[in-house]
Amino acid sequence: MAEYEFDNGLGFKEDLLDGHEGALNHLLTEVRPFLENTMLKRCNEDRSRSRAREIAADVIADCFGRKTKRKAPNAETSEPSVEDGEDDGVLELDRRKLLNLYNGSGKFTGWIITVGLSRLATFWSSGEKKYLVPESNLPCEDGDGGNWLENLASASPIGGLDDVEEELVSILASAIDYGFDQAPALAVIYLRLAFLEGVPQNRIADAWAIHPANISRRMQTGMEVIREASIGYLSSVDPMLRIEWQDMLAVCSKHPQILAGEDPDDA
Amino acid sequence: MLFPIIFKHEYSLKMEKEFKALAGFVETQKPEVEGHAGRPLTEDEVSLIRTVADGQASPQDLKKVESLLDERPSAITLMAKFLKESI
Repeated sequence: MAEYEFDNGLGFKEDLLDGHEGALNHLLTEVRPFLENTMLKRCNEDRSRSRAREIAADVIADCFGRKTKRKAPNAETSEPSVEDGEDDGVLELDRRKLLNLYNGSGKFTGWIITVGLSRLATFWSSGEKKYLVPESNLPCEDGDGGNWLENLASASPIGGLDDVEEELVSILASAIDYGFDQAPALAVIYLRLAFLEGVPQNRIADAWAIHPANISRRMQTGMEVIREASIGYLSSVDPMLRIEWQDMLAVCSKHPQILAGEDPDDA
Repeated sequence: MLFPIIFKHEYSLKMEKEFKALAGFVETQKPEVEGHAGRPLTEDEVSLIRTVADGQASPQDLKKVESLLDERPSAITLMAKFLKESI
């Protein structure tokens, strides 16, 4: 078999989605070990390392869709699947492929590592984190009812973020970027003109020769798409992550320089 | 009928707040598309934006300007300037 030419970008993604044998082989023999080893370097005890290996396998599998157990709308009337044998729901393939979220803005390997580390960070921030990473200062869910995103929103940017927080913020930035990519271009243009440039909506409507209500509706639709696509991106990248839109907004408004990848100390 | 107007206004304010919260990120993440960075808008492009701002654009002009506005943030700024001038 001819050697596969790995471009570490959108070409690789397309080859994988097309089922190119060389690309699949490269994913399993090169990318997966690289992902696993990168995650293992962050782990300092056995349970964390074991979880890292599981996550690496899950991320690779999720690239092509995830099997999820969910209650079907007609679950009470439907027969349990022969395949899964469950009686409280159905096991079905989630058609949202993780691969579809990669937009080529960076290297493929960098993106998939960010996905893996985000899931690892979520695991660390779960209830088991005290046993697993006692020295970590990762914002976590605990008795005070907070979560890492809320804590990040209230944290001072001075002093910067640790490595794990940076991975989480990087995923958050990718999610918002993805949300804007999914929104209709014209809706984003109207939003920018109205809210960033301060142009009255009736003037925008005059220029496009449409009713002001249409401008308002398109803007609302645009914001809804941005919100839903961003949240959807995060839940696809990390199914265990529980995200509230308001928390995401708080991080964006308090730390725009962090999301933009700048050094917070320069702000 | 005052209640729906107030409600609509509050909804718009909430949407504005949300969009502005994301704006710093958008501004830095969507620079001029590759090949346009540093290139000033051509006279034809400025004229096209002016035509749309004046409400005189044909559907074809609108399509062209929408593409321009999507690709080049500087075109948005210019469009906003023209729209506010004619208030």
